[in-house]
Amino acid sequence: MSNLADRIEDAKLDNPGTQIDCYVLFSSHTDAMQLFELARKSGLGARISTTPRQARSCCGVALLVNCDDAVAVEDAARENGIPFEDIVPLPKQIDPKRDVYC
Amino acid sequence: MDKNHQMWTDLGMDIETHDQLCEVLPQAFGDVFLSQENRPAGMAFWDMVVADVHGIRPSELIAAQAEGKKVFGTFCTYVPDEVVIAGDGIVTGLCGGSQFWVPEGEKHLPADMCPLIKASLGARLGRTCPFFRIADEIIGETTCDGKKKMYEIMAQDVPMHIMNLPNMKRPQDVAAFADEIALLKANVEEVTGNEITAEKLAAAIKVINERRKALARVYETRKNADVIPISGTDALLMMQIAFFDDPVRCAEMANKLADELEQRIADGVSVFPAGTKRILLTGTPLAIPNWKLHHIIETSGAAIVCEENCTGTKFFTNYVDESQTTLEGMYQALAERYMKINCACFTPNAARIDEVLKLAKEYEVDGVINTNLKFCTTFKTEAPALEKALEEAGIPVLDIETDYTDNDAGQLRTRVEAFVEMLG
Repeated sequence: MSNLADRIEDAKLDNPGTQIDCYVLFSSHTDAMQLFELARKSGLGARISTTPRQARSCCGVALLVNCDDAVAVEDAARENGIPFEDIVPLPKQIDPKRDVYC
Repeated sequence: MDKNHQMWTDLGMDIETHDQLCEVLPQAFGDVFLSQENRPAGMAFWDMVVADVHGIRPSELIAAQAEGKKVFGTFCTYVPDEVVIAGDGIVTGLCGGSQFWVPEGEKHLPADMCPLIKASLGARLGRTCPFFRIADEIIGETTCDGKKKMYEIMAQDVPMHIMNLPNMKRPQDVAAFADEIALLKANVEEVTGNEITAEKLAAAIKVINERRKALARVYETRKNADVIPISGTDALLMMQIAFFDDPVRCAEMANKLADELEQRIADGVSVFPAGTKRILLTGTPLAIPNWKLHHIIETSGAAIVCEENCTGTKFFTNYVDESQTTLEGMYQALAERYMKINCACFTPNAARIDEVLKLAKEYEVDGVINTNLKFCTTFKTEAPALEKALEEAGIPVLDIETDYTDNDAGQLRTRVEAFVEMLG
């Protein structure tokens, strides 16, 4: 796996003019909540999210983090021994006027 | 294979079809919830639950079953959770709020039946909802005709107990429902193998009253005329999950959220700009993951500050009398509380109109949106009487009929925007 900062830059180059968001993927929701609390206490922007299909084919809890904070979140997870599967930069997935429900 | 897929396979689910739901849920969740600004931090709990809605809670239920507990699925706010809990059973809601399950339901039901009923049957028979697969028994009730007939079909596939809910509210009807609660008690004892004593039922009544009080605390903060501390969409999610969660944990998390919302009011932190029009939504239930109307309204210049429906105030309004010491006294107390719910399946149902008028005043709303799911005859029939009463009270009202499809979203958005503009 390439360096996270490099992958974020690649995503920005591949999607000019589009906001890039980073999704932290987990195999356990308890790990996700642990990193979420740690990120919040550290002043890093993180929100609980579903796992986007573009990032992984399985459902589950993910963290949505601003790409500016993604490397710091990755470091925090490693330093505190919180397991995560991957951090995936994606073009902004959220569109409140899409009007596609489930 | 990941843990969820293994669990779903073990439950005999149709994994391939279920994956289609997994494809659309993350996008809808992001669009509806993560697009909001300045949400309460306490919503992280409900975000987590819904992000893995077919994983986290189902795995808890399966673990409880491995320890000998029984799980009872329910559809309706008239089924008294207290009785199941007194028998050391677990109550879970059942999926029925997505178009995803409707086509399977239409294989067995007339197309001109409400989407909630079609989706519920589709989720069970299509094997695409883990809660329907996990439930040891499903408890139905004789509310509307559509559900009654659907239960006959569902009962061929899963053990069911049907409660006979009277459709009038005379004293003899309340007494008859108390008798039904006694029959439910016997049924729960048979399924669980556990005796329900007066002490256990009294304890369960306290547990569910505490959940009601916690949810009511959250709603109380939405009455503030100057600060709207939580969106209607977030409040709806809390209510939808309340049907599925452990009642003690539900009360704990709702109380934490209420603490935060009360602080937000003290600090003047609102999720909507000052002057945003306040809407009371009334009508048919909004089962998870039906977020369509809330999202459309709250992205069209208005805020929903109260839901007068089964996934709103009807779920927690009125407490069960805790002073009774005998089982018979508790059956009557339970019946009196549950028979105060004002569903359109009752006749007459003027109390619902009185309740909407009272809530409109308490929540200081600018307008009411009355919604009914397509083909819900009972709610649709009483809509004109409700509209007339609101108009006489000087409260603007918009009547909306919709279903779970996306087709009418643009039209609804136009109508809601026009209504909000008319509110001034």
